[in-house]
Amino acid sequence: MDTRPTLAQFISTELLRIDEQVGFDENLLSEGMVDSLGMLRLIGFIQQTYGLQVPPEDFIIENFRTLEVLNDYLHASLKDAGNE
Amino acid sequence: MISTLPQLVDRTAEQKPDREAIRFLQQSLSYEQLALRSNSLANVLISEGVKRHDRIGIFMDKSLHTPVAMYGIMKAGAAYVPLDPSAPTERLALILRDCNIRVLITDKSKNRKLQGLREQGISLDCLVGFDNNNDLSSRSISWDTVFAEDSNYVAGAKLIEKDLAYIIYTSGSTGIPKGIMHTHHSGLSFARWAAAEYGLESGDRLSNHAPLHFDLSIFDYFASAVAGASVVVIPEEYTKLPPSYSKLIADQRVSVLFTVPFALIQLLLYGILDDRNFDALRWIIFGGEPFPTPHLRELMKKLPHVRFDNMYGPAEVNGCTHYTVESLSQSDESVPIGPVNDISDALVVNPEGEEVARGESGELLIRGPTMMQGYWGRPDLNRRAFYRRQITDCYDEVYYRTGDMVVQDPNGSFRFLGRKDRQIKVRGYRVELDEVESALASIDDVEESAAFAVPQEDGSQQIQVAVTLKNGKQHKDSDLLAYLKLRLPWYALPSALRVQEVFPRTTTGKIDRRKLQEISLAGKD
Repeated sequence: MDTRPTLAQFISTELLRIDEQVGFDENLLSEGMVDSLGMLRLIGFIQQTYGLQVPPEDFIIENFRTLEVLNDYLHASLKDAGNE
Repeated sequence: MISTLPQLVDRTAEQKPDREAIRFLQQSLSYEQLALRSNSLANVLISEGVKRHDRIGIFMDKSLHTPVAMYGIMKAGAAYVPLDPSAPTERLALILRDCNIRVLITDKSKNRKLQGLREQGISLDCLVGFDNNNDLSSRSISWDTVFAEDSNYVAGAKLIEKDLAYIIYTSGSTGIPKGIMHTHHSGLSFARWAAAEYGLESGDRLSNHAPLHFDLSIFDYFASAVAGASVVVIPEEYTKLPPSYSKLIADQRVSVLFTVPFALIQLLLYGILDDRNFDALRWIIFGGEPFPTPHLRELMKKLPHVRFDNMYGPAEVNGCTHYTVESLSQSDESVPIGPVNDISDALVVNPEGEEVARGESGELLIRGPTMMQGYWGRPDLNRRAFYRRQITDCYDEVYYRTGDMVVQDPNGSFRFLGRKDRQIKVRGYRVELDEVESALASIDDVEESAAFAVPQEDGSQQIQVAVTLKNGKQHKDSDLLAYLKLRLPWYALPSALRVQEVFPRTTTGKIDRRKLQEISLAGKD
């Protein structure tokens, strides 16, 4: 499963309210992109969509900088959770 | 004698050259390196024709180059103007034109925005930090070229304490941002006061969370320079993920953390503070907006060894009152902003301009050495911003009108009650609701518009707007929001927009914004 298109869609329309889709390798955390409240909403969306809890210690730059790394992280945690 | 801000750096560079001046993750600069690099930049700027009192923009993400740019510009005799990297190009162009910026210090990541400035009709003489052929400026110079320049001395114009040091732009009610001018004198006065008041020492490590265009950065950079202390830069990314942020503060052994309540609440709620070791931290200073006491109480409980301080002061006067929170009882609903500091003087006046008795509410007026010179190129605003209290025929005292309503406690401490006008704070940033309305009014099909603040449970305020459209016109909410994004900074964007058939009116026929606000509040649950 590729989480990138779904999350890109959510970030563009719900968080950034822009027409063009965010790139998979675009830095989501740079100035003017997703803010801290937006990141919390993203976590809520992930939980809702994939039934996955993101523990606080995983809510870090290394896992959330781009859709690429986020996808990798989510896959690893889905595997851990035995859902894949 | 030190009479300019860069001399603070040069002094430490002479006395303790190896001391760390700035840290950015794994990289750092010593005071000597910072002094030499800013000398090189100043020499480059001077050879590019920069003269005393010119304005030079800093348009880049936070990095090790940030203080080099600030001090280099000031050493060349010019004033630095920090530009919000996330601001829409239209707003950036307004600022560049307003104070006639001809030279920008920038970086590669701003390429798209720079192109956007070109499309706005901006042309510059020189770009520093981004060596790329583009038609925005006639010349561009890389940092490598800058650092190859002579670094031993600066052959610049003579500067005195009253010369212009920096201009910080803030929201203006008409839609044109206004530039707050500070001299070396006002910057130094504030920095010296702050370093003494908080007992800063050369071993201290001050965080820099605020971007440069936010005046909290003045404390971070200049109070630390007075003490010969180090600035630990918090990169933008870290401010968005509280666990990463808290880890950085702990790992980098930050001892003085100055930021807005919003960021501290995020740290409290999501920063897994219990897992971090904050034994180096001794001050948490907050400002920019009121701190909701339930959250503050909890944060103080988690960090019992840290002293908490509320620093108050509009960018026009820097920090001018402060209050160290020793304890907070369950019944305390707000944190006082404290008494006026030792080097300033305060006056509380009624709408007629008469001083009120202690215990009565009124507008807070401040005078002192940390006060701005005025707004750049805006004599109209300056006439209103300053209150001249005549003492004799040939002498008057000059106060800055803060627009903040306060009441003074019996012990001399002030409490913030609200605004006199329609300015609100969003995460510490000032937003004029009038500015949001004038952005809406500039949309062709908009007939009338109203912006209003909706208080949230966490004590913050949310901007919402309502519009009516001209006869027969139709627009999706998202189209109107997209337009606003081109004109307003992110913190001024409404979180909700609705198109109405008609507006509720007051008995005098004005748009009833209170009613609109009530409708929003009622619709929430």
